[in-house]
Amino acid sequence: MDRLSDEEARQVKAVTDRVMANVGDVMVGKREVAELMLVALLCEGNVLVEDVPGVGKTVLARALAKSLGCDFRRIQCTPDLLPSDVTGVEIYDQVAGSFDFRPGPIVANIVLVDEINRATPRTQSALLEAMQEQQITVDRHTVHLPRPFMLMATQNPVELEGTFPLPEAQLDRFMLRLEIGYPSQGEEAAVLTRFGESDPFDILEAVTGGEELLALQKLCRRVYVDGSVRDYVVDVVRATREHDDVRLGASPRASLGLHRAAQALAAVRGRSHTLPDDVKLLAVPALAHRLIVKTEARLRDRTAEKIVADVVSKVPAPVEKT
Amino acid sequence: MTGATVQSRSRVSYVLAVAAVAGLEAIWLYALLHTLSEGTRVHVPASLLLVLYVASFVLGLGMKLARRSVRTTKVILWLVWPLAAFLALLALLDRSGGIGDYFGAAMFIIFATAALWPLGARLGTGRMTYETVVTEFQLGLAALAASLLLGYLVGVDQPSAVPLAVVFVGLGLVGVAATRSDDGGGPLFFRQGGTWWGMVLVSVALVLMLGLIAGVLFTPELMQYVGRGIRALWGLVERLLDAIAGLFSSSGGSEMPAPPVAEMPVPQEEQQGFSWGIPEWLRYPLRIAYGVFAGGLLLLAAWRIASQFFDWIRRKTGNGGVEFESLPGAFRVDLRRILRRILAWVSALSPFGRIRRRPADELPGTASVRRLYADMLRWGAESGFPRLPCQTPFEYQQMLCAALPAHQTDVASITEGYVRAKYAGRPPTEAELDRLKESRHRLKHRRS
Repeated sequence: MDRLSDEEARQVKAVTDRVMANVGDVMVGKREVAELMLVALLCEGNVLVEDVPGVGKTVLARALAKSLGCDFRRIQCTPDLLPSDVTGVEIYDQVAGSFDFRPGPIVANIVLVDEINRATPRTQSALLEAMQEQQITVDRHTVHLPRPFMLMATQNPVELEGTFPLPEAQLDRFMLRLEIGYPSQGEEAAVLTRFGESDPFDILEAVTGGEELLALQKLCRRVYVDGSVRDYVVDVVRATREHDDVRLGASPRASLGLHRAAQALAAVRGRSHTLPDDVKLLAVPALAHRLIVKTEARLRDRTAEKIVADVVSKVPAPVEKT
Repeated sequence: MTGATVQSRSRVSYVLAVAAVAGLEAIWLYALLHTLSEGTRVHVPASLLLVLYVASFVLGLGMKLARRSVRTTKVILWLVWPLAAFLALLALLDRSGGIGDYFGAAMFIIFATAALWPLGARLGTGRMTYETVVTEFQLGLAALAASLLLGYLVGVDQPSAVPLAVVFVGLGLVGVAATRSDDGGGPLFFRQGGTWWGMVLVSVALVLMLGLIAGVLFTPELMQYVGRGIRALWGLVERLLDAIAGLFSSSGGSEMPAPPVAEMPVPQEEQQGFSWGIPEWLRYPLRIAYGVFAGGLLLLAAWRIASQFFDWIRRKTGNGGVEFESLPGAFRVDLRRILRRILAWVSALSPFGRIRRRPADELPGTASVRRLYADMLRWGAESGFPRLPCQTPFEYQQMLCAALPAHQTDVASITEGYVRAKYAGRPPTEAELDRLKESRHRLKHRRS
């Protein structure tokens, strides 16, 4: 496969800049979060946005979906949501005398699964196949999901009553876990102004389309990764497995995810090659949610994010030795 | 283990720990007071003074059991102290002596009670932990040793010094065992839930066993063998030194005739040791090689120490806050680096060297940029800002530019060139390489 040229890298950057500017019309600040969401989209990954209520998780996901001009569906998770409400059902057609498949909301390009941890494990597991293999199976039917496909899930880490924590297998299928965080004082004032006058969603228009996104996804796979950077990815991931505070480290799927995300980030920033800086930047969003921290470490306030940051600060970067 | 058992074990441990600490304190206090009392000729019985220590302990413990606050306990203890001191004066003063002796003894008793009173009270009110026992043991050991030494120097008779020391160590062992067993851990074989008596037994057995082994192993014969071994080793060192000295001694001098060696009784050892049989024709080249080696080593050491010293001064006076290569390991690291370079040169000369030096997929020009960047890293380290192992080139560039803004452009261009060559697989053109070399030249020859 040919490596990405500088010209092609600039094309990717131009499109992603356009999308981010469009998202910025609705979402004040948080450009880095939007950038990482695009990164996940460009390497065909899924995103888990985890933060306290009211910081704009759903707004960001909606704005991104609308900017991309793709088919967008939203699933609001509740404890009584059934798998068939997500995947679809077969309904008997009396006229034709046969069963018709009515696809559920998962059959779309961009799917927003809001408050995913409110759904029961049974419903959550219905999403597994869609997330990993980009297809669903209902009765005898296997339905391939449309491309591009991305599942954006949100969850609130604070309010845990009546929720079902995501199992490790499902967490591992999210390429990135992002946190939005509170806006700064200036940003919060801008939010009041922007949403006070009218709903910015009304004037938001798509700036790209599904075809273009698919082309960008292919381009991202051609971003050059030097052997030393590839080794660095592996070193970082392996170091999480050997860390004293970790019961279960990141999986090979995590290595793959980090590698591809680094490629996409390089392209989004207009580069035709990845840097160790890309790996470092993506390490926490790509790895932290996949670690299982030991209980005693958790009691010492050692979070998975802190552990990954610690790992990154200890693994030597692939640079010349003096 | 049931709650009642744990509670009772805890109580026993507490009592044992208190008894051990009290014993430790009583022993070193007794030794100190006895030495001071006899040394100053006031002759106040130290053992009777210790009654005050016990009294303040009982008072402190009573206040603790009565659940009084710390402040109230302290106030009451210090209010009672004058009464205790007065009673001690009444009981212990010998009125038969002169006024000088009388005054001296009174002052001694007052000072002694002032020291004993808070110690006893603290024992009654404080918590008994492993750290407390260890601290008391360490402090007590120092005080006991100082008292016995002082007593020896001023000529005070210490008939009970040995029993006191033995009891002191025994109490220390009991205290440590009791507190450790209360913690649920043990110092040796009791990983979990050791019992205090078990630990004491193990500790005593271990001490005795080590003593026994030492007694069996270190026989006079063994010591003689060890002595002979050391002498033999030293003999080898002497021969080596003689051989080195022999390289520079005049051989077959023309000015003076050689002494009649054959007639003089030369010891056997000296005959063997001289120059280790180095033939005459080899002495001259060896002398030169040794001179070059020793001189080079000295120059290297002097240069390294001087450069470290100047870097240290620069760091102290200039941009601080960055981790710096420490002096102890610096010389070793430099020596290793020089040896590695020599090996690299040697391997470059060999037919296989060039293949090994450059990876198969490395493009021409990449190696040059890598060398330039390595030079920049060395320059950065010598300027007091070494790259941390986890830092990427751009992170290091940021750090260097913030610290040494005068070199911002050159650092940035070398970093850019290196990143392009290393991570993008795009080596520089000839013109770019020349520009990078100029940047490297400017960095090396312009001080910030």
